Amino acid sequence: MTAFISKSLPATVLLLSCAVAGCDEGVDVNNALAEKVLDGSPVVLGVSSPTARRQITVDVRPANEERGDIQSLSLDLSIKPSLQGVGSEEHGRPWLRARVLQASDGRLVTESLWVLGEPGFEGYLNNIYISGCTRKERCEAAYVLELERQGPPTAGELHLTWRTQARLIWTDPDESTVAMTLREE
Amino acid sequence: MRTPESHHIHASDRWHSKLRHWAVKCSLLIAAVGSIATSPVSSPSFVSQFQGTPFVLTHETPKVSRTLVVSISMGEIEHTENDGWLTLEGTARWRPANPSAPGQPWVMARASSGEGEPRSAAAVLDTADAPVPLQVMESLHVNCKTGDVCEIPVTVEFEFQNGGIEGTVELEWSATSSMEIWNDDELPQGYSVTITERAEEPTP
Repeated sequence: MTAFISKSLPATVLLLSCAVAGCDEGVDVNNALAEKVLDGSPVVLGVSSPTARRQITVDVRPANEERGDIQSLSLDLSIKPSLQGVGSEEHGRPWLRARVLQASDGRLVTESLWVLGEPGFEGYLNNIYISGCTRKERCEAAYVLELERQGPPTAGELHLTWRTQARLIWTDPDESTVAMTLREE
Repeated sequence: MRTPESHHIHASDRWHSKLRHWAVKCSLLIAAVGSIATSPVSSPSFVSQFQGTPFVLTHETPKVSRTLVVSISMGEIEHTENDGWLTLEGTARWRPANPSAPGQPWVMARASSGEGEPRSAAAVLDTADAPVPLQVMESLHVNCKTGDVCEIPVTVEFEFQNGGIEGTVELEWSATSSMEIWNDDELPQGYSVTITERAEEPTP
């Protein structure tokens, strides 16, 4: 009977708490949330060199095969542009396109286009969910961030800083059962 | 061979199994009832469409602004909240003055109902005469009373890059609203939504 209670009680409590509070809010108490932030190397895009690429790799390694699994793994990207050396009004405000590609086959994952010129503007590519990483073994996913600016008649240098964050929901409350790294290649 | 002890263990296991089975069933039932009790209820969506008059963006008029009015007739219902979206869709065609001249201008669409930052979407006009789609979704929200006609004005704008690249942009556009009411699982009798374009006020 004790074994039954110990087995059934957590599930019952979880179901009841779900019914009252909603299961889709935040991270479940039985899971761990791990986050890593990487400040990428700065990018300068000129009119004659309008494209640059950076590769990002996220690596998840379970410490113990008996405990935990990947419930969700995602990346967020933020990009801060600064146009220097010319007034944007003279030659028109340039566009900036950011694409995220699978490093393995170049497949487009997501993209966004922004028209620059607003002071303090920051562009986001959020909720890039990494699929196929639900097994209890090491998972490595590599992406290419491709940044492209408009060429002539716009002018000046576009200085970009960017940051990425990896977010892992791990099905064990003990964070030490998993290790995550995020790096720029 | 089964011993009395093993029989006792099996019977106990069966009892535990049955109890566990019913405990899980009860828990799921409680969870389901709780979930239904705490889930917000909303009606099906009422969808309305508006076809805009096409226009041309030039260097003299690189930005065109229009005001759409989403009008909601509440019909037979008590004071309630209306929520939904206005989807602005456009198709832009770049007509360069000199097709061989370099330059890929941008075109942008914006929609704003006055709450929060305007929503916008931009696209690059990289091929002459090719249709380039634009889509912006702006959230709509209004509280209405029984028998009222409530209006949500939405400013929509289309703009293209002004400077250095000669040419024009032809734009076809439309808007679709999708509204639903909260705390009711169906739309009330007489409920309707229309989209109209507000005439521009004459310049004094």
